[in-house]
Amino acid sequence: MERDPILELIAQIQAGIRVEENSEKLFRRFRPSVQSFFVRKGFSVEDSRDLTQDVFLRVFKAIHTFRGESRFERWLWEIAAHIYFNEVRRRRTEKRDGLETSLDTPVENDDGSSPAPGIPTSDPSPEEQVIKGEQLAAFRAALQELPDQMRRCCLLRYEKGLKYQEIAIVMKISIETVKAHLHQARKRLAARLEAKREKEP
Amino acid sequence: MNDDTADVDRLFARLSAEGTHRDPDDHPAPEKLSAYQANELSPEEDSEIQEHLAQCTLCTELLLDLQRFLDPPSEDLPREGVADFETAAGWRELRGRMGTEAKAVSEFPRPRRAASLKIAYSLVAALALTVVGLGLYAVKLHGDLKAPRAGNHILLASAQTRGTAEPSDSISLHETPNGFSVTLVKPPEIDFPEYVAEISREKAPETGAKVLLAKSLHYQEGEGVTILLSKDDFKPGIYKIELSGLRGRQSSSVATYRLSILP
Repeated sequence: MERDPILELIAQIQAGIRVEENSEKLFRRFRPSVQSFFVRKGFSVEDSRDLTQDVFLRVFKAIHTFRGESRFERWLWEIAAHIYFNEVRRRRTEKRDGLETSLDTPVENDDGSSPAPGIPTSDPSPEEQVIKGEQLAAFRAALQELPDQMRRCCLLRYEKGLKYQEIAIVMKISIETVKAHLHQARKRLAARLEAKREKEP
Repeated sequence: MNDDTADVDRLFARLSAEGTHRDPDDHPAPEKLSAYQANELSPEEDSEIQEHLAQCTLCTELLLDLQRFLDPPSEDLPREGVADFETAAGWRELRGRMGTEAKAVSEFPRPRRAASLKIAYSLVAALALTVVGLGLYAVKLHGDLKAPRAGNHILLASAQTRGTAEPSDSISLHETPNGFSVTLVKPPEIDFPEYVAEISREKAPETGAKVLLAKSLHYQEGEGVTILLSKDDFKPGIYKIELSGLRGRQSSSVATYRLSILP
């Protein structure tokens, strides 16, 4: 079986074979992924470049510890995520709050699909404001009664605004299952609301 | 959409607007998130992470980033056939920082993170000495391992090149009936029409004394610069070979090699 070329590159670096040439290949291959990771997190392009350098500095410093038991991309992401957390903490310590607000990545929509209905695009409408407090409490309770995975799918879709495919990745289930969960959840919640309405005088 | 499901949507919007699900303060370590993605956790841990993900925008985004690392879109891949000056500049900067680090054995503090603790520098200096010592030992060990024993002498070699050539690949040697054949490999990015090799004995008694100046050497692609050393001139000892490139009257140092001939 042909070996993963990335693991082969790393094995050569670890063995001291053409270290600089192979390290440069690794850097060239993965720099765009790492830099776009930081840009997506809300850092400026310049800061993203600096943080990307930090990631690769740590990668090459610790490359002898990489054991090749899982994909290099996973290890690289772990390092990038640590540097991201550290940087966020550092900035928080410095009381710069600009970055934190930008961490909430704007919600993207699927091509042609409507925005997640649960994501408010503006202040609550007057109609929303008349929803009684007890109705909201009942809704919360009904949501909590949904099966765990169904409830989590609801939160990711309606609270976090994730696309079906993203929910599928996060929950490690198929898109069809996501859709089925959401469909079922809305039906069940609607039924609960209807049942409550019928009980009311 | 019937009235009931419309109500459901409005209630979700209301819940969201009230911010009932802010991100938690604590997050699982990246290693745990990636273990979750790779199905390496127990069912209990898996469920725990899923529950966290359902509440935490930061971690769901990170998990989606991991997926993007594993299955990158075209914009996250290097552009084939396009000169990528940004990456080239990034690599030069990284090399510089790694070079600095090799000397200091510590990450070079960037201005925004400058640490001014003297104790840190002392530790760095101590570490640097340790690593330099280990490096010298490794070079010697490597030389020992690759020492050819075809003739009556043991030949050891090491190299310090200025470019990308690996020291382990940049000098090869073997014993001939009348002497020694030494082939020097230069870094590929350095190129001169002609080369000169100055070979001097490094250890006593003739420290620094010039033994041989090999002129008009040419680089054979795929092989290197080959010099033949006579056994009459090269007794057992440690020799330094300095390879320089010549362009017109201009001479530039290319690499330094060390050759040990042991009896």
